[in-house]
Amino acid sequence: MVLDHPPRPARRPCWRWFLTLLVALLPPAALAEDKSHIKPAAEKSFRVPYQLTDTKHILVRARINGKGPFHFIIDTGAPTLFVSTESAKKHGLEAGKEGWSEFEKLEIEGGPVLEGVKARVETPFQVSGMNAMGLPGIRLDGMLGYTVLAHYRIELDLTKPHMIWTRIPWQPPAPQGISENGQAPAEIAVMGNMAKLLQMFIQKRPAPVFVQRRMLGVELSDSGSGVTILRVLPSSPAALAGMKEGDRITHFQEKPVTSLADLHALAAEHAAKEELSIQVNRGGKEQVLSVKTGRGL
Amino acid sequence: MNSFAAFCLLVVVPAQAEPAPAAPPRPQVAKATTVPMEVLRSKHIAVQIKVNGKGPYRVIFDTGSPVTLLSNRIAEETGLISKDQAKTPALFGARGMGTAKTLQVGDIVVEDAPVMIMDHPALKAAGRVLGQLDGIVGFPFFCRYKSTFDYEAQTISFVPVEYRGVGMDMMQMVLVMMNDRSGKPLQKVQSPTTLWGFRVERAEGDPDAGVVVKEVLPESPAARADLKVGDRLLELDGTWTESVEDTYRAAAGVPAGQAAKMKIRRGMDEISITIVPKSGL
Repeated sequence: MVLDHPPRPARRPCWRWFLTLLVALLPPAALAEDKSHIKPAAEKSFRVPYQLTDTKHILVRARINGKGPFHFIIDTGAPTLFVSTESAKKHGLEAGKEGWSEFEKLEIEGGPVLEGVKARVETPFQVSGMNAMGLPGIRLDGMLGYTVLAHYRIELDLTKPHMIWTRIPWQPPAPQGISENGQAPAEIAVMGNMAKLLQMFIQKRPAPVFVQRRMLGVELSDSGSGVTILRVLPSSPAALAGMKEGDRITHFQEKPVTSLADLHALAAEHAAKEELSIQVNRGGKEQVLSVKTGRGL
Repeated sequence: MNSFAAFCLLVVVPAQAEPAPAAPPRPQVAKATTVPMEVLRSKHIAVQIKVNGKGPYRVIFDTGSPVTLLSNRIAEETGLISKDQAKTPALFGARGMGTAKTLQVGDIVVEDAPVMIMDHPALKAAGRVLGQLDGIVGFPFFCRYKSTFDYEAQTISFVPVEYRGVGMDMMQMVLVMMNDRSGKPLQKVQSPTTLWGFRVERAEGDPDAGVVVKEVLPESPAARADLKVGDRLLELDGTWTESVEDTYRAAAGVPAGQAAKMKIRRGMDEISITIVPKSGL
């Protein structure tokens, strides 16, 4: 047991409910005639790339009626597709009756396509809250819930850069709303209002800046006894610095290199550096080369 | 006004939780384990769990939840909080974070599972219609597995993987944010470990899809794939390349020596070429 007693003063305010995405309530309008069906043929598998947000949400990109890309959280805690009002408006998607829309085409990055997809156009407070504070590190446009996910067998492995989505040839039954009187229960309204209030007091986190590693233009091999240059691309930064095929890289920015993993860790650490010091062993002789790095992959 | 103080004033929640030592839960099984899921009328997923050997309890399985959450009822029954603690008034019954010695989902047992204790209003509301729901199983559990969701078969199967990326939790993140007044953006380094031999750019306000190839190094994988300066790269290995970041992210997902498709627009034509990146830099 880890919770101690008696209570300490409020040092760690507990409000993470705010970031918990559980959208339990659907308006009474049922999804009875959900016509979504899939192209192409059944049982096809897709590699769907995803990103993990800073808030530990699994995010995929999708286009709706050719517009976007939209950023959606993969959310088994949501019964349907939610598109935030703001994002729908920005991309010219119209909200239908009582906030329900039917989109002609939903294309998910990596290949899955659904047609005639019913969706809620509304902004769950969790999404607006996280966006307002910049917490996820990437803009969120909504969630992909059951009505989309249930068409696929979905394999998620966070050690791999893609999910595997395999079409299941069945028609998932439509979700039913569970609100008792068509209104959100009072507690949830309270939660939403608190979330809005909090946003006013927290400074928005700036969007992250991406730094791409620079390029040398060498093919490398790790023979087990060090990192050897297999090929130097002509007129590449490495070629201009005098690197040669067969050179063994022993140091990178004065740090020793014994494996490819070492080298790539150092390359990441000095990702933006325009000039690098690289020490090589050529035929038993050490020499230090200064390389003006290039941009590109 | 100091926003941190304001924040504390706003959320007057007795937070008596001791932060859990960051011991990651260890999967106890080595092969695929299939767990039945109950697809609720609302189409949320419910699973049966045991906490510290007690239960079973019915909870929601939520890939959209960054935390695993337990109600005060479970927390009290399983000894995570005392009876007195459970009675102390708190907004949404929020008691902070705790650590379950064991958290069992189907036949899978994880040890030292970080859990958040509170009565989530959405669970309460859903429970009134769908039957009692006492928590949410979220990211800290499923990140340890290759998880396969099948709504038709009504199962989730789990194969343990070596995922070590849990890192900072969100509460810490928010506290850091509020204490860090620098407003400096976080730097994210993109550092693929492969050599491709091309450079792309995207002009500000470019109305068309994709990134434009600005340079192709001779004899590089890109040159051998016949990529040309001026081509518009639309997709790399199935990833939409709407930005330079997208391009690097996609490249980072392709191991050296593995063929990847590039969808490009060249003039009026849309063509697909195959590129094989090399181990390199």
